[in-house]
Amino acid sequence: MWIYEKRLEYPVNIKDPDPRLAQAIMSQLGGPDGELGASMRYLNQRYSMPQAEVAGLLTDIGTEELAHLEIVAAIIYQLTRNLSMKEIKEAGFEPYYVDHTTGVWPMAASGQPFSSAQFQCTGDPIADLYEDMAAEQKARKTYDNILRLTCDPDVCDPIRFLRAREVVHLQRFGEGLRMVQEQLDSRNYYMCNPSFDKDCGCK
Amino acid sequence: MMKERHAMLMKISEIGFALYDLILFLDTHPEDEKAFSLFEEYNKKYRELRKEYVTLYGPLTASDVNTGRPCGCNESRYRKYTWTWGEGPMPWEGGC
Repeated sequence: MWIYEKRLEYPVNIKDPDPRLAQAIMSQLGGPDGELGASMRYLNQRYSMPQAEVAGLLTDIGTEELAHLEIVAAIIYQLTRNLSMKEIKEAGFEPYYVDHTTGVWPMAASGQPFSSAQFQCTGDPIADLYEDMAAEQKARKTYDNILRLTCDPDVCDPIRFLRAREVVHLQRFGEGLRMVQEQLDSRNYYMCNPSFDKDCGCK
Repeated sequence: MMKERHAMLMKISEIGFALYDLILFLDTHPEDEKAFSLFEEYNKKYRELRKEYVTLYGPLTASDVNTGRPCGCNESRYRKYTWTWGEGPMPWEGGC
């Protein structure tokens, strides 16, 4: 189970609203490489992860992604706080506003709603861990792209924190992959799926 | 008081972050003694700071309710048995 702690993992204090930027950052909430997909990917992959240590890693990183989801939501919330109709129109925020006003709804910057089609749980631990490493790189790329869109230090600061975490998670998943591979046939990791095939030399 | 509360919450965030990063590291390096002793050190600091914060400013988790004074209340308003979980600014409101 989970217990909510009433604090952000990293503080968000944005003074100036910017609905146009909010719409771009929205992608890290519900977009193809966003934090909602990240948390759901890792938390769902745990059940077919044969090694308890790596299932634990998926739990802990998946949990941190939920905290990141809250940081991204806080950024969007603060960037769209107290908007006037004039600001909404000038920023081209009407398409979002008309459906969601200034509520926070997970979607990609393009307007595509969040979908579980954006992530995988293959039931194959090697394939899943490679997907996880790729996911961390893709999220890092999105944060890099966001940092090119703004110079507001209030926004850049938490975005840089989130970017740095993607790099750490990539590292940890690489180690998790090695831990799984060490229990498989070193000449052919793909000879069996330790989550599915019986008697393939895995604990 | 808000300034002190904020400063203390920032300290909790800093130590809480170091602690969480150590947890991830220990997940893949369970036999690393240096990381483990750092974990113990930060965990102790985190628990102490958290306890102090909760007593002064109110709950961080629902199970902290009534271990201290309600958030933002002075002594005269202090009542021991009060549901204080809903009080205080939400984390995304900024300022903490």
